[in-house]
Amino acid sequence: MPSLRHRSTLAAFTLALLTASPTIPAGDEGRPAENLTTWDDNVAPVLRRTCATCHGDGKQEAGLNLASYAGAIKGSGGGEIVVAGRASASRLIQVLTATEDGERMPPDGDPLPPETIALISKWIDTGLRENAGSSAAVMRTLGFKAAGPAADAGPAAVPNSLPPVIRTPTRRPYPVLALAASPRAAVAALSGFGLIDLVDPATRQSLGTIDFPEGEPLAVNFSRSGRLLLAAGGKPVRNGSAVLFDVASGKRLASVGDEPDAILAADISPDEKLVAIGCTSRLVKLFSTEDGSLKATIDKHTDWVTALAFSPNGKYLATADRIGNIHLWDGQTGGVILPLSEHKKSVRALSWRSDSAVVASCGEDGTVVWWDVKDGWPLANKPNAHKDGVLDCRFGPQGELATCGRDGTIRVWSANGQELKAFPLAGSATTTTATATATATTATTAANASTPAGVRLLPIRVIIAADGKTVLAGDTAGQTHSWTLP
Amino acid sequence: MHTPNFSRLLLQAVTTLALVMATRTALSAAQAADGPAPGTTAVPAANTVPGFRRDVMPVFFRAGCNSGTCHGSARGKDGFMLSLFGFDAAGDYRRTVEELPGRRINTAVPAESLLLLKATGAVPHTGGRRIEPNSDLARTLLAWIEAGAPDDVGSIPDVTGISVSQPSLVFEKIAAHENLHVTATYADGSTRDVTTLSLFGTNNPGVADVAVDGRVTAKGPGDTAVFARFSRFTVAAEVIVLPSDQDFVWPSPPENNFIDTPVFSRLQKLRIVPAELCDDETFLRRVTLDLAARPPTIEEYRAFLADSSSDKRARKIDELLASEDFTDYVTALWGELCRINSQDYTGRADSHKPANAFYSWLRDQIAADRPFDEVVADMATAVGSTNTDGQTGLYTMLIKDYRLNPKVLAADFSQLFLGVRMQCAECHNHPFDRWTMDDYYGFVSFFTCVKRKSGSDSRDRRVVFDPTAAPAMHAVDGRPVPAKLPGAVEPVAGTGDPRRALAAWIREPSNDLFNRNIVNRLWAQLMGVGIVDPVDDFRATNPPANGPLLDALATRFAQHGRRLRPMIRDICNSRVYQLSVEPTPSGRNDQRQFSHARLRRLRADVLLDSIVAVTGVPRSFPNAPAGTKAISYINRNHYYSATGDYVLDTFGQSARETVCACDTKTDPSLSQVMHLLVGDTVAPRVQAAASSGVLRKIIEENPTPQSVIEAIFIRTLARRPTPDELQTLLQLLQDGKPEAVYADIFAGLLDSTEFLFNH
Repeated sequence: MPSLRHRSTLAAFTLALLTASPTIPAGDEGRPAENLTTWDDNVAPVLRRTCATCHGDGKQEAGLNLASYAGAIKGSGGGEIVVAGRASASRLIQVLTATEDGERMPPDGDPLPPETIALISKWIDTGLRENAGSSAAVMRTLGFKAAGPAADAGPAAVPNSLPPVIRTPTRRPYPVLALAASPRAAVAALSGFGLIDLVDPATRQSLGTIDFPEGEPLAVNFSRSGRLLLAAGGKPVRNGSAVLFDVASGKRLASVGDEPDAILAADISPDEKLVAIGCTSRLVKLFSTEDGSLKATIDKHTDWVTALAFSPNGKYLATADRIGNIHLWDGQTGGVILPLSEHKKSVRALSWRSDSAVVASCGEDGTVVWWDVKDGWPLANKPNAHKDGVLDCRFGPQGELATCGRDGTIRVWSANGQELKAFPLAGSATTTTATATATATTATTAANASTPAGVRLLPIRVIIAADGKTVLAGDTAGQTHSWTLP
Repeated sequence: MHTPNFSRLLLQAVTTLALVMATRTALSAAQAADGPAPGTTAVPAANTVPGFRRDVMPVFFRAGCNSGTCHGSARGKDGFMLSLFGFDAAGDYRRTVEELPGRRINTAVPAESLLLLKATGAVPHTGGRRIEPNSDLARTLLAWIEAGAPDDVGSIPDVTGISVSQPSLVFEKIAAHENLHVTATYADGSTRDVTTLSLFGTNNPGVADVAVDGRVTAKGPGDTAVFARFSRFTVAAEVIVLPSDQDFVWPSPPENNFIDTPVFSRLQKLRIVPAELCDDETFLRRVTLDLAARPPTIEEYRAFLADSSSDKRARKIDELLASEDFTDYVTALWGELCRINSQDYTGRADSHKPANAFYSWLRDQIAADRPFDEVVADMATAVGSTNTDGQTGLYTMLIKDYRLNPKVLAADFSQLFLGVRMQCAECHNHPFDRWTMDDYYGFVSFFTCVKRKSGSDSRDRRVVFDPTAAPAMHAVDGRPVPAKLPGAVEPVAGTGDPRRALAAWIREPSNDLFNRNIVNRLWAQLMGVGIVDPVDDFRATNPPANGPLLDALATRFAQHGRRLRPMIRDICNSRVYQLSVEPTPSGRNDQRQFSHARLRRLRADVLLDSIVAVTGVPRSFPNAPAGTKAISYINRNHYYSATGDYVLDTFGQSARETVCACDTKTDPSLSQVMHLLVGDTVAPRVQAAASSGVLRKIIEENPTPQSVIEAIFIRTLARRPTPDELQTLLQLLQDGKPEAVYADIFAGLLDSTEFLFNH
């Protein structure tokens, strides 16, 4: 792989394609001699780009889902749309080439160019190959071994001499859309434009950077042992996937999910065997980290899945959506357990207390709720925790909860729901601007960069570090702020 | 004595002024060929940051982003909501920029903003490509995002109105075209060319089409309106496409009164020759049906035809206007609009007694020809017992439920008496007219203080004014909006019942909304179609077919003290009203300009009354006293049928479920035909008339078959038979028994289209 890449959209997109589907890590697997036309390499990108809105995971017009190979083979409610070896008899080609307005696909906009249709026809005629490996579906292995509780022992992973990453110049710093704290080490991960920065939570000094060519990470999470970092995101409306990295070396270990839109929420199970992702398709998908296969799909949400989190003991998976509904599922199988209904507007974040007995949720209706997961009872409900909306909530190791909201403040709540501290974003003592711009200076501890008139500075994410005392927040101007709890 | 500072200031001022003047001159010299000066155009100047309200939101409007079928719908589209046509700028900023930081707007890498990628079709977008990637619209969005996507700081001058470069376009040829320009005026007095930010539409693409850039193209002869929309304003431009002027000779018809002048002036402009004057037989039948809701009697016919005075038509009009039949009819028409009907002992507000009280009160007002603004004012400010104080009827008949919903009351009141459908502005500013949500909620607040309490018995309600009632709450931000007249800026002054202010406004002789609405309804009733059509839908995109005519009528109405009879007298005395239904060749396609009379099927109730009058056999109605006319009939029993009587149902009588004038239908149906032929309305009556009634009398009193047939024709159709008709019918007499043939002729004429229609 060349180390210098063009940051054009096309290149990024192609790159995302190559890395988005489950691949064998590190080292090259020899490419077959012939140039095969396959679903993975040739057909899927086209169909996803053109057809996914109506024939994808979110919506299946005529019962047809072209987001996956299996869906394309299965066809629509009317039957098969591709006949192996006979493009002329395949309904897919018929609608792509139809001239009548009512018959042609796509129904709006320009028809596919003839070369593309020829490519798809070739794919059909040469036997509907799924990938370059073989004509039969194979188990793709990632060579990834989940580590169980044994990983909890031993020293916590810290980044060690990560390779340098070329940062794309941006006009101004990218907002900090995702933030996570290692549960055992003094490491925090925050998202940037096409990369993840690892920093020390207290000093905000950089510990390394990890490349994320898929796009912008919208969710980052450390595994329970702290040895793995999960980053999920992508390019809005174009692609989305979740990637597992080794914290110490920064190496890419596995990648799951191949969504037509950036993934909004993701988490890794405590036993490191499952990754759950939540999407704009309203689906929650559970993937195996060992072979990348889809283990379960949850379709109960009726709007975008905005947050999800495994409980620390692995028993539960909590998922939340844009309408305000939260559901509790079995953390292994995805079976339904309980609904948690309280929020009137979008839920922005979910966080588990370390004893797995309580999960906290917060949302745009301005409330923070502490739930007892035994029976789904809201133990504490704090309305107007932040006026106009609570953007994030995160438990610290000792059961205190940090929140941030649209009122521009960060608040810390005690284990029984009392407000302990409130920190205004503006005028915080220590601030760092992420080194993302070509024009901006490198990381400094200067006072806040002034926000231009008419633009509101909002804290989007907040965490409490493993030491239980450091509060770190990221904002819409790409800055991080830290405070120390007494 | 000048101080040094003053001198310096003066020098600075002079220098600056000189510089400005020089710059302006240079610019205007440079721009003389290029277009409007910078800052006054739709495109923000190169070195200024586009403003959210001034520049970005118009892009959302122009590209269709915030239209009702897309993101402007109540739930938005695909997860993104904008306020319809941008009535909530603050909310739109929040939703676009802050709701999902980094996604829709990406200030770090502006070209990656989903707003741009989707709008230009670079990524899958259900709405497709809305703007071209390098267009001014796209550049405005990009420049704004590059500047950090700032919100407006401080207050931004609002748009106060728009105007088009040519309010009236006349095309001589098909395919001729003109470019419309739209200018917006702002609250700080500045103006701006917003043609590239406006949306255009046409009322009749067959006459004239308007392209997205404002180019109007003539398509076919006729007249219509094209309109431009920007911000919350709509303005119309009249378009006339003239037919070829070959063989067009204006006949210069005589003008009876002030009504004929604007009508003929417009017809001449459109190159349409008006029809001839209708003959006396036609006039008599038409005006009697229109004013007395019945055909003329044989005596009336003979008297009128024998009269040779030159003003007989005017005197006939006066005679009918003074009759009880006229009072009954006008009361029936307004009673229908005000939805008078009842059910007994419902425990709601619409029992028989209040309905009767309302009806009687209304009839008394019409009988006295009381100024109609006073009648409406009385209804608006009514308090009292619904059993005895008839003017409270509006509050019982418009709202029959237990709960008096002020929004429904306000919408109905506006539609009935102002002709404006204010309800469109409940959830967003009116999309096609100038009414804002403030106007709507301010109007609703006139009625939030009205309460109905239990009265002396279960049928009675007391309509009271509740001084503690809160005004209506605005839908966007929940603030109370005190009672305010439509289009006014300040709420009505004073404390106490705000309905008094509403009534005072109705009673102002210069109240154009009221005047135009009432005269338009009168006109529609007599001519078959309003000058504004539909009559209860005045809006900028529905302009009058003949503006000067409507204005002249409204002015005259005010001069008449808003009395109905003088106004109706004027209309009936005009030549336009008395034109024949037979169009001239140039008037064949005219539907809206009154070049000829319209064929109008009789209303269901008038038809039923006419059959009764002609056959002389009475008709009873459920739960109504004997002798009740169909027009005076009030539905007392809704379980039976929509109107209470199945024949009225069949012929499209309004069920009085809404205040819409469209509830009265005259469309044909098979049921109607079947009912006339074999139902129990016509045939039994003809039988009775033949055996012992009017037909028997005609046969006995007329010596010859010709005179019998003639008498039958006059009785049913108010005209003599043509020689051909006479000959054909006389031949029938050869074959059958005379009584049976005469009965058949009688029935046949009653079933004929000519009888069913006013022509």
